[in-house]
Amino acid sequence: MKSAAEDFFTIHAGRRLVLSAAGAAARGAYEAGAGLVLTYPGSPVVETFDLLASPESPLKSRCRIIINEHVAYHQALGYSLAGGRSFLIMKHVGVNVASDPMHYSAYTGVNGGMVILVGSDPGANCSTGEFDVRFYSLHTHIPILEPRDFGETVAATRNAFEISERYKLPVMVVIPSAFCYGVGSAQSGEAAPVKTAPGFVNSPDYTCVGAFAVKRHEALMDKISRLQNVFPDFESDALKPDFINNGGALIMASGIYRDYAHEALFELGLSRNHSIYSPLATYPLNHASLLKAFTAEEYKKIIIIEDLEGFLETQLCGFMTQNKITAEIFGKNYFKCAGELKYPEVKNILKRLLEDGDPLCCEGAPSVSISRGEGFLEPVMREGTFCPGCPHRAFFYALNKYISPEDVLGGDIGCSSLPPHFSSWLTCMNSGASIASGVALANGRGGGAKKQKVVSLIGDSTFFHGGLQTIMECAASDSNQICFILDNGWTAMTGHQPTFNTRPFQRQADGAPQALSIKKILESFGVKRIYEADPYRINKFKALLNEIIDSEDGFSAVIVKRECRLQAKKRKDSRNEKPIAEGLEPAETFEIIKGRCAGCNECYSVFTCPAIFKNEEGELYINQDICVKCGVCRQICPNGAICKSESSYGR
Amino acid sequence: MGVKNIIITGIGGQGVLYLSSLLRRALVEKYGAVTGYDVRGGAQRLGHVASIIRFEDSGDAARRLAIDFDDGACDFALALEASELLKFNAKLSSRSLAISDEFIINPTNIRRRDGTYYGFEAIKRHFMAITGKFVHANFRGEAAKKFNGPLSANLIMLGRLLKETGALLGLEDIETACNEEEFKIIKYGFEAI
Repeated sequence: MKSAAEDFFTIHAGRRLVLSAAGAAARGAYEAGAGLVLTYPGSPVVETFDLLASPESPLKSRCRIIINEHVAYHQALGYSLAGGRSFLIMKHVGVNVASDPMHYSAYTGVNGGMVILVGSDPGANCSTGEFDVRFYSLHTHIPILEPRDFGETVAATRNAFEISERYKLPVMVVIPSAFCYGVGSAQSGEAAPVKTAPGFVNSPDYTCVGAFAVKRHEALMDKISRLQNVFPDFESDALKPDFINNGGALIMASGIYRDYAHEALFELGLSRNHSIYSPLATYPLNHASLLKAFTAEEYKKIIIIEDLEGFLETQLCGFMTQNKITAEIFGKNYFKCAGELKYPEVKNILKRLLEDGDPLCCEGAPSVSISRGEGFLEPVMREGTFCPGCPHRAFFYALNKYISPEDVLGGDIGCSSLPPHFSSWLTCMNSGASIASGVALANGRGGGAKKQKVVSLIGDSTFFHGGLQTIMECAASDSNQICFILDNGWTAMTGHQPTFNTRPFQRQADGAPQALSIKKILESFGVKRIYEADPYRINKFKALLNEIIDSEDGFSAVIVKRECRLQAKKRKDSRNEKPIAEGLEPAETFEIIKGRCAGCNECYSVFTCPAIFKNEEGELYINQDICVKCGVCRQICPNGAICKSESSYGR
Repeated sequence: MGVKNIIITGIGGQGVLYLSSLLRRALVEKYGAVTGYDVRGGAQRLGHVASIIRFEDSGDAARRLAIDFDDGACDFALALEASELLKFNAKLSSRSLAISDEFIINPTNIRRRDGTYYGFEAIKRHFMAITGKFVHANFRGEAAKKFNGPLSANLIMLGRLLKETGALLGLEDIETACNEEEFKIIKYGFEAI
């Protein structure tokens, strides 16, 4: 049996594939012959890069994980200006980081097709924010495609390269997280030869200063106007909206909501009574095709179904005002702006809006109410937690013994940000030491009136992504904080992509630099107090905390180094590789000795290791199927009840 | 006959996503198309994981299906961890058949305050009241006994699901989607549990 990735690249055109939307976008980029694939890892679009960079992929040597989205965007633009096709993959918050070059790229234009796949996250299922990334296009003027099903995601990503080359603009393909993680059937197309960059040719178009900038702005507006008005002589079928005119109300739906609308109308028995207009290109909206739709029918009621904040609605209202079209609009006054829009909600709102005067229309709709009688159980939120053996669990366990709830703990993005959210804040990449430096300034030396300790966190991946400048600044100003750099060796949260300190392990083999030493970087930045600690040696780590937590004034950095246990185990099991950090290599099996356990629950309720269970009699035990033998529980047990199991002796 | 809706749920590390990939592959072979979505947020951190699988078994390939489905419209549910199915209470109804492991993992937030969590008996009563049929067993224990580790519980449960779906999907349909060892375990779930 072939692996899924093998199938993905060898399947003939016209065959059916089962793909997530993130995978479908990868297939589209492969079929388009992308010559360069760049990313900074971010859920929900990690799978797109992982597929294209997989060992089976013909594009694997063209795939690169870049230090951050800003640098990645510039690289993709440069490759495109040199004539090659570049494919850039990022999550919606990555667009914030890339937004500066993104604005200019619309001015300079592109040569080879440049496509940016953006995974948005309504519901913030895998992100720290859920803003509507599409609004970037109202000021960058970068066209957006929002594919409506899995098959179309392949085609839309492939065609986005054509559209980019035709209009000399980067093109964004936006897919929401539920769809990225959605799985459906798609048909494969023919894979084009890889379009590499023939070479850069100088042009005055690439200088966006003074009068040149004004000219480029004019040229950009002209391109947008062309995109708005290409109908009826569509230059590309790929841009045609889906339009079914049945009279009645006009339902305008973007992305996956086209099929929500279709299914809801079907279930409500209203498929033949109302019209659906669904644009693939949601920026700019195609005015020519909209005019055609509004000429065909005088719609009194327009219902707009889309994620988040009313991006289509904003544009449609502008279009209607410009063209003196009047109709009642039901958009964000009915469909929520925040959170993920679910099918039952869409169906119920359509039912409310469309069933007036036709009581039979809801016949057949399933009952949505369940009886909440005696014995009915409500679901309990399952807090995320660190994996068994996670070095972050040991780190936080120790740190929490030395700081009080009144102290300041600056949080950052990464595994260390997992619930229960020990930190005082959690916003964007590099928020830990940066915001902490402002708080430290406000407090002054000595922690101000409250004598607050200020400590901050940053993961190794985030350290390279955006933390370098902050650490330089903190070192230069001797910011009064202790910054813990949680170095687990990988971008673990998004699937163990390599970071700059693990580069020798990374997948892109050509030109890979040597691993960088965080300690040497800190030294070169002029950080005066640098400590190193292993959270698995928890008593030694606690001794260090005890020594520095109250006594230091000014900036200190502690490199907390221990490889992600999942990744270390995976590498050892599959390739017999050694862990990155030197020192203790967990191998022993532990058990809780019944007679010694006093039931204090330190391991169960405070340390909360998922491998420690409580049986029906309230006795604690270690589940050996889950335990990864990190041995930290043995060190934290105040009663000495956790010991090497007998089977471990004699090894 | 018509659209069928399946929910598979559990916690990160139990193999929910792998199981759904096998099922989807088999369904595409048999029915030509599937749709649905995964909840993967907790896959690495013992949190909530789920797969929604939808397909049309009456050959109406032209019908457009949303990736999500209506409340009360679940046909089959598979709970690798019993309490995780509570998150889909609204999707269940008397038309639903649910299969659950008796295995329960207390959420960390409950452990942190040393609180009590739902026991399996309470969960069983709950689902027996709202579903048409509720099948449960110690699948995890069975897997540990018969197949060298509890993680095969998901495949045993898949076998049981195939048995419950009748002609919708048979053992022969799943055989091409998995390897020999996996098929042996699925077959055991189909025949012995």
